Amino acid sequence: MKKVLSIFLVIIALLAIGCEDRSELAPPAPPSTGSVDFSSFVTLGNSLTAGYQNGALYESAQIYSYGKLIANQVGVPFEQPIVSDPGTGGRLEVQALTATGIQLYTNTNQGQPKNTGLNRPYNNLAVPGAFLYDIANATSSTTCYSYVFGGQANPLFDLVLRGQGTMLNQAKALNPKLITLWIGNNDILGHATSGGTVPFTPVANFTALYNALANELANTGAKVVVANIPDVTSIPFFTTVGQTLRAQGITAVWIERGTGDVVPASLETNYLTLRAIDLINQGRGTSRTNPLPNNVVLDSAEAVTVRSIINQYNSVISSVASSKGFGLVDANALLNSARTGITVNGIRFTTQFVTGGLFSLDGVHPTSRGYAIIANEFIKVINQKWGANIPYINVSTIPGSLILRKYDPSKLPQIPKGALDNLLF
Amino acid sequence: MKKLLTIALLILTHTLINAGGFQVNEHGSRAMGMGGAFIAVANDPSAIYFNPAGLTQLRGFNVMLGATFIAPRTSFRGPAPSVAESKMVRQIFYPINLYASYQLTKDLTVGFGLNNPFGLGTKWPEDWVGRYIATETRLRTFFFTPTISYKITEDISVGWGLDFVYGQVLLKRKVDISPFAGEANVKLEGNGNGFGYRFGVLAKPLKDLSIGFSYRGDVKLSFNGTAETTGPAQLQSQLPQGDVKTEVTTPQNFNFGVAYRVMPELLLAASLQYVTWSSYKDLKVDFVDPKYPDISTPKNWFDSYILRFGGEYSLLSNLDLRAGMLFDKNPIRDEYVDPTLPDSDRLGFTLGAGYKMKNIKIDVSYMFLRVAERTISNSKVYYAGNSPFNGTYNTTTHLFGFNVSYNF
Repeated sequence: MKKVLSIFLVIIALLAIGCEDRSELAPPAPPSTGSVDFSSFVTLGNSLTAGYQNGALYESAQIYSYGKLIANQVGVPFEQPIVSDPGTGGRLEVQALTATGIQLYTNTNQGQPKNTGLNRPYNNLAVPGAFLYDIANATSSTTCYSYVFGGQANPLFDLVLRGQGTMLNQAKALNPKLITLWIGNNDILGHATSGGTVPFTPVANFTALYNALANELANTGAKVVVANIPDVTSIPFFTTVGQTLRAQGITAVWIERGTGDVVPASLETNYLTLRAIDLINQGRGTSRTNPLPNNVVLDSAEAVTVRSIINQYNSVISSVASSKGFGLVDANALLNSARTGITVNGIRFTTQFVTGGLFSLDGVHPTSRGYAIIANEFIKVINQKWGANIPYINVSTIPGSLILRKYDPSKLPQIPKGALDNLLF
Repeated sequence: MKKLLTIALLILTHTLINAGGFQVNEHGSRAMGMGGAFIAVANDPSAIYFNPAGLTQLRGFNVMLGATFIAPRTSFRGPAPSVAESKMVRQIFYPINLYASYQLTKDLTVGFGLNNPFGLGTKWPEDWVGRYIATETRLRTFFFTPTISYKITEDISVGWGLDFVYGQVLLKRKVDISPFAGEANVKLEGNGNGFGYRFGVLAKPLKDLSIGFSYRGDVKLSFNGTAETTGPAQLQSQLPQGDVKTEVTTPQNFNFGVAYRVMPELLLAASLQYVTWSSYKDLKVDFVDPKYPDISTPKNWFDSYILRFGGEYSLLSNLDLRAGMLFDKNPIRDEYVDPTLPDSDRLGFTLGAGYKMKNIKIDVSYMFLRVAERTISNSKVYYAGNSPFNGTYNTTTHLFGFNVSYNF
């Protein structure tokens, strides 16, 4: 009997040992960053670097800025000028999806700046709307390029720079070890999106500014990665309307060109912007006497100019990058490859509006997943150039980011005029 | 019948999980205390489950009623290379068992059993990393089993049973709706029924030695139910909805057992249970509305086995002590292990006791199951895009069983 009891005791002891939680696993070692020091990592640029999406800058998009995504992969902190949702105002959201298409809604509400107390410059110093000129010159909403040369104040400079100097000076103050610079898009984009009515930065000025800026960045001793300018004529802002009309059997519309003459324009070579939609719905473009105005059409001649300017900008960027030993992200090649579709982590992406998954509802700025693809391009360059081994972002784990508007029961419904006039009681 | 079912279901809200795959083997406390090595013992009314031939050992009218409380704890670390831990929501399941036998003549005994041999219950937090694979999965089955047992000679008995089976299934998960922000919820719910049969043989070739064999056949459960998908209003019209059908075939079980009375107070037993899980090739969900594509998830399980050893020691004339061990080989290939059933090889240790007072007998049992840590690195289960759900699962389970038996 004692024997039996002792067997029982042994079994009970075995049970006690078996109950131990053995689920602890060692965390993976931090990735090798090669010769790159991420302890002070700064990103400079415009809306594309700020993490702007759907026509606004807001927290749930900023946390997917490519700089933040790269910092996450390395495991370093990355401070940004966060604005709580719905952000800086005018965010585009999906009101309805119907068999006939998508109906957008502009959310006019604004969020609050959240990270204003940070006692050092932000790691992400990019300002939506910044031109090349602004990196080394703008300090506020009224010293930026758009105000100095166009009279248009950009309050986002105040949000990001907080009166503490230019982007460049604040970057220097951080004693940077790694800088990314993606700038110059707005120097041509405004010209393109306005149908050629707003001037672009002349190539000579661009060259001078870019070289001066590159010298400044090289002098900081930081490693620098620059990105070039994608061909904007392949973004949905320019391609969607023409494709849709062609699908409806319309091959040409009447447009007013930059030169003032009214001509029938082929939808193959002339680009109608998303801003043309309202006018098309009003019947514009159907006749010589009622053409689409110049500022919603990037006509074929203008498109040729835009592409040529971008090519010239890009050759400046690539020659600067090679002479200074900077890494170069070929954003232009990335967007070109996306035209025919790319598959990343099992997901198919195209440049199609909404369904393509790369571009947000403004037709210009990427989705969160689009930014993750861009971040991977930066990681690729850093890994190759400096012997790092930073893991790529799994793009499929980045959530979708086209905002579906929430019905707000506290607000009166918006009912089209006359919709309730003929109800029977 | 339907009303009876409803009442039964109201009382019995949970069932689950406990052997390899989605089979539960703990349907009697005496057996559980002996590590389940009961095929060649089968001398209480739970023989209806373990080996219906054993019923011929019982005299008069017997009833036995009980439940097994099962408390699993599971964690997942991943998806690799992350080692972030997700913990399964803790639930307690209590498959019940109810058996009755009546000796019609000296050699002929009839019986009736009700228990929950197949079940599964896993629930993960709504916001966990694998939510696009599963948030909640539940399967329960109720086997209503009339049996008849016949003693051919003093040393050989046989038994047969028919199974009327009712089952319920629930599958819940989230759906990624990218490129749009947010997610949708999917809930599939259904119930179904099927038939099966079982038989057993028990022989005593020597005075102190018995050997047993029992077979439980497969049951094809045809489920009918509905799919309910909810998401943002803008997408609601595109989400699959409506009636769904699915079929699950439970495996066959072949049980071989031997028991030997080493000395008058000590009975030792062993058994081997062979389970034909290879019948579980895939899980198909068929949307009745042809507008929506049907879903098919590969499973490709293989056959598995459970080895059981146990003993019973009569400490006093009315008090038995029991102990046992078991090894349960899991039937799931690495690449198809998913969080709806994060199975792995199991090692079980059991303790039990039985106490007799006149016509009443009380049995209690405890089992600790150590489910081997399992690291998946070649998963074909995808949690997003083509990203495999690799990581490490860890499970331990405590089981408590009790039964009350009465002999008239």
